Amino acid sequence: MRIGDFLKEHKLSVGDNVRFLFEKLGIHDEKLLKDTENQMGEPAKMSKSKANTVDPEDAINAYGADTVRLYILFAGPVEKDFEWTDEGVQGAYRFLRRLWNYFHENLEKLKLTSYSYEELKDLKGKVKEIRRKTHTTLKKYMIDMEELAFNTAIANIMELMNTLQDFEPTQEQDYKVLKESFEILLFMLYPITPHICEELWSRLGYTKPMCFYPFPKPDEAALKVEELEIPVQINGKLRAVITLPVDADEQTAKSTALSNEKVRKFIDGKEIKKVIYVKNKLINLVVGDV
Amino acid sequence: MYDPQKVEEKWQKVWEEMNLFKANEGGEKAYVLEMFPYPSGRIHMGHVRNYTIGDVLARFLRFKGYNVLHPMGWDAFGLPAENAAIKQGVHPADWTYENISYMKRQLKRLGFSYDWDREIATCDPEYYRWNQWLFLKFYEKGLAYRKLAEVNWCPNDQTVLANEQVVDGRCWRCSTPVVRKEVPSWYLKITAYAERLLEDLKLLEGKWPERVISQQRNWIGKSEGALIKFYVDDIPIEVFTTRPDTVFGATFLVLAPEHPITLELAKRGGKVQEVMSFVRKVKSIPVKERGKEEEKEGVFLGVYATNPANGEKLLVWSANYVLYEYGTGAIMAVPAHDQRDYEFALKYQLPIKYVVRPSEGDLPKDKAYEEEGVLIDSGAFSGMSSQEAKKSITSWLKERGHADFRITYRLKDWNISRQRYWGTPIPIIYCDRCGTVPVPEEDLPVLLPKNVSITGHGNPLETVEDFVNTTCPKCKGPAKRETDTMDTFFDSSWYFLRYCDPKNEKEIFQKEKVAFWMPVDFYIGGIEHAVLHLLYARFFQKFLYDLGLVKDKEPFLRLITQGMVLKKWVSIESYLSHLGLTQEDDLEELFRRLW
Repeated sequence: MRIGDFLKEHKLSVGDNVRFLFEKLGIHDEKLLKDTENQMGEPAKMSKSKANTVDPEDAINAYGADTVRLYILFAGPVEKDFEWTDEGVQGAYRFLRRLWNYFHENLEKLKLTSYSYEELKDLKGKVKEIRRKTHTTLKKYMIDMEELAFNTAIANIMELMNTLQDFEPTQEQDYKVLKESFEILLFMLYPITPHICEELWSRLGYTKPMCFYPFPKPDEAALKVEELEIPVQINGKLRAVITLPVDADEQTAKSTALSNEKVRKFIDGKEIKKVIYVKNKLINLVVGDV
Repeated sequence: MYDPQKVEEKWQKVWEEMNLFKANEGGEKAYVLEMFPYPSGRIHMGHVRNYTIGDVLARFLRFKGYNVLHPMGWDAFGLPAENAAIKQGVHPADWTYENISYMKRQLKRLGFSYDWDREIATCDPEYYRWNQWLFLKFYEKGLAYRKLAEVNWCPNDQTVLANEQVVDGRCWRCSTPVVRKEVPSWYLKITAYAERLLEDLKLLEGKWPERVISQQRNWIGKSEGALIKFYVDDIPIEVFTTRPDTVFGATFLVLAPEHPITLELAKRGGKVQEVMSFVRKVKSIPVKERGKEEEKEGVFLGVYATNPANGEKLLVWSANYVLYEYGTGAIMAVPAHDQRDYEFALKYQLPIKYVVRPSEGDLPKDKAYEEEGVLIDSGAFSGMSSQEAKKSITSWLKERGHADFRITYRLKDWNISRQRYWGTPIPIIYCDRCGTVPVPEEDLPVLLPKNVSITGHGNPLETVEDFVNTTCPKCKGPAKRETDTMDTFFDSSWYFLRYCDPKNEKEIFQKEKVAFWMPVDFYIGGIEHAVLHLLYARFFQKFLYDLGLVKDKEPFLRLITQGMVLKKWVSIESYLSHLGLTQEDDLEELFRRLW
């Protein structure tokens, strides 16, 4: 039998989705279909005629409304087309599940913790970094939301979540910082995934829906990066002092040193042969004639 | 364990019970609106994207302290409900309200923060009576009028077909070839607002996507030029041109086949038979298709006109590439400077005379020179720049009574008549004695009758005698109702105002409430509405502004056009070709390649 006759017999046209051909051939293999799509598929607007739709109701049943909302906004800028993929929506689901689980791992401690801005003023080291990251994210978030850049807002929230997950709180102060960060994260996510945020918020012990509480404001003081004065040596001799953020990487240290007026005088017309950088301590430039 | 269903159900219930998203006047407002859906049955992913964007904005703005209006409703009249009635025998109202209730449940499951107390459906008499009221206002101001319109007609079903019901030139139901027919139809004079619709686009710059603004600008299509009169003996032919600087290069005139004097001139020229058969042939093709026509065709009418600029005799033709709807329905053909005229002149061996040359370089060979430049062979105007000559030549012709400055628009008046059941009845009564009589305001709404049989033959309302037969509001004698219903774009041209005061039974809305909530701060929807809906809504807003009912000239402060949701798919055709097979190959071969 010709393929064409088989199609005719089953009322199929060559413009139909290959899924129907597989069905009529008795092949019920979702994996084969997916592989085929990944290999040679063309993204096109979801439409009934192409049978490439995803029913929102199915997606809600599988992952929940929050996941669907999160995925749709994360997938790209609002005015651009985006391609729906199973991997994408699963990724959004995993993020919310991760949030849920991490929250509950710390819930007992967090419920017993309270904090005030005053207590979070003079932090040092890791907790200071966490707090800075949280407030920087919040500040960027406010700008992204104003500009309707929801996808970048979400990306930054996810990054913050990663930072929090890497943090291993032990002391009381750690939990104070963690709690503040968590609450800010919930507020930022709330417009996007309101249900899960309301639930976690209430589990923290709050009795009213989130919209009754004030939206957090970025603490300008927390945004400041701690700075250090670092000596710059040229061929082992102290020639200048520069200001660097704590834990600045070599690239930053080098470019800051090279843009210093005094340093430039000494290296003018010479070649930099080597840079020795000891984090938070000193930078030594080894120079010689070209 | 994260159990989204449980969590989501719980909070949706809490929000609803607390009435959290109810909006009342007060404080600093923000109005977030998504284009309301047609209740087709189920929501699709495009809706979800559209409404999620709106909901994030609404919830974020509430946090920022704004008093947010975020409503939802249903664009509920329209063809699919009527098609469902024809195919499945279900009443359009039942079909529509069932879909609404299903889709509403779906939207609630997504947790959108709507003030559901403000829900509207355009098919509710409480809503569409205000469509009728607006129509009466348009009529009162001379902005609603009736004229003949060309429609798709199925001679078998005796019914008017919408464009989407014409499949390959045939009726979607019975496959009878569709013919063109002229029926009296109601129009709104949107052209009276053309200049303001264009001018106020400036207010939207930087707030609406540039793409939408330029689409609207092109749709309105303003062109400045001259109206020039050419005479065939005593008969004037008016043409509109944006290039009066090329009038010395006009070598013939072309009239649209539908132009009322085409046949009259043919009679004078002794060409009636040829011209009539030509006109018949062209008229059988829908106007929309004609612009696409590759092959230009025409017929000489046998008469000559005089060029008012230089007294030369010009042949007068009729051709398929000149449309009666545009400009004056007649053109002066300047083949040297218009590519379409050029092609036509080549085909019928008509003279080509260059009267503008580029300010630098040579004239192109084998095609028209359409740019501006410096005039040549144009009498006293030779040597002048095109820019200058446009004004000078028009003024010179004007002094001698042959021309005038003129601005035209591509925008046409809006035909709102639909020969359909599932829409807003147009509130007009025809009386043999009193003529066309508007339904008095106090008699509104003109209810859409429920007992109707929808068969796909004819306009269903025409057969409902209780509806059609009425009494004349003026003389109280027997009279007939208009049976056309309104284009559903009418319904969606002002729904955003009704959300501000959705339950008002006394008036279309309370002015103060609209003044408080309007304009819409964020309007979110698809780019496909760039012209029709968004232009009509701006038109209605301006009309209501003129009535003193709204304070804003523009209804939508910021417009966000969201992108589409795509998904990969493979057609049978591309699958076969990927395997190196065609339909001619054997099925066994396909199986072999598959494994």
